Amino acid sequence: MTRRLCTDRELVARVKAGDKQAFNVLVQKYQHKLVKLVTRYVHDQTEALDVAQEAFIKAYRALPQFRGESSFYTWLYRIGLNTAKNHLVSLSRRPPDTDIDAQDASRYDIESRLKNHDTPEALAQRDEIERTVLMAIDELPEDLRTAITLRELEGLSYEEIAQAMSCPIGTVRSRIFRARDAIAKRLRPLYSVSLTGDGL
Amino acid sequence: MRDGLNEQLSALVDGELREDEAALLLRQLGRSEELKERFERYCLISDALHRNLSVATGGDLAARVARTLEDEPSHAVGQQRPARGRVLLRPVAGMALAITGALAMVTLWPQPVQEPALVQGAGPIAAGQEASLQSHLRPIEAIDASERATPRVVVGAAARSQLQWKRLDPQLQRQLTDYLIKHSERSATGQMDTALPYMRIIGYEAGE
Repeated sequence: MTRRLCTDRELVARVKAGDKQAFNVLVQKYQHKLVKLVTRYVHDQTEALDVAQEAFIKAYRALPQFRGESSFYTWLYRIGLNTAKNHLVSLSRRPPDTDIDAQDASRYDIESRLKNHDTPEALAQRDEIERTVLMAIDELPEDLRTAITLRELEGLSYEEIAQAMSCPIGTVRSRIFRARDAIAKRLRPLYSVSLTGDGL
Repeated sequence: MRDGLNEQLSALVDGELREDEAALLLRQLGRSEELKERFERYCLISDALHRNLSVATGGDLAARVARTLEDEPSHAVGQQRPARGRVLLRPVAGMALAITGALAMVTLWPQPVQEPALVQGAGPIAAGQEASLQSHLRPIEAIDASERATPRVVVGAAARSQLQWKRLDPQLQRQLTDYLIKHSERSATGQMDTALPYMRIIGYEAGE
């Protein structure tokens, strides 16, 4: 039996049908990725957030024209890229000549460039979050660790994980949730700081 | 109950939430700050694992976008009811087209002064005198110099078309008259919704 899932495509369809909350979910899902993309072009953190916000608003307005020929993020990526470049042009700064493909973006190590613009505190906080997440995963019981690793790092669907772990899909879903919940508990002290302070 | 919702949030991050659960969860996400925060935290974990975190990401970006979107019309509403500007666009465009057509007619209509062969001697010609108009007309070469010195009157378009009308074959006159009557009747019923009811365009070529 085919399960109908609430994927990005479904969320987009909901937005098109008038559900703004579905767009908020997409913003929450992709805000970090988009801001990271924008900071490759716009190094000032405040400006980068403004540009990312503008890109999301543009995406919302243009969504009726999105035909779903690419993934939502690939489409959003192009909007973010163009918004960042236009921002540089409006400030009479020259945008870079070459673009990074949406699929390759995560592979590019541009830390050396960012280090010139980011505060040491913000960088330390980001690294601390990444370290805490990895440590929390290491401390998980094996079944939870396997489930979250197969999902997050291997990119398998719940159905594929269920086959790999020889268990029902419902169990996979529950294990991934419990893994996330445990990691989130470890992150809570850092997260509350990041919500109120600068940077993360 | 709360764990059930949190599990659904986790599935939503992965795009694995069932469609039948989505509507309720999205509604609750819109109302509960706690759920929203938890969802952001789950997304943060995912981004941290993929090294997608940026130092510039403040916790309020999603909230800022959501606040801005509050003033935006939702898409379905936009599709059901076109914007006010669009509603007005059609009649305004139609009117503009009609005015342009009328202006073009007024400015581009050929002026009789361009036809020297129809220049005739002094004295205006009343509309009812077309019957004798033929005899008044002479080629310009036939007008002598003294006559040319006197003020001249140019035959208007109406007089000229009356003359052309008289020259028509009686059967053709009847056909054209019938056509004009039918055209007026049809225009009067309002069945033609364009500027065409107000235009009279009749073509005639001798021999057709």
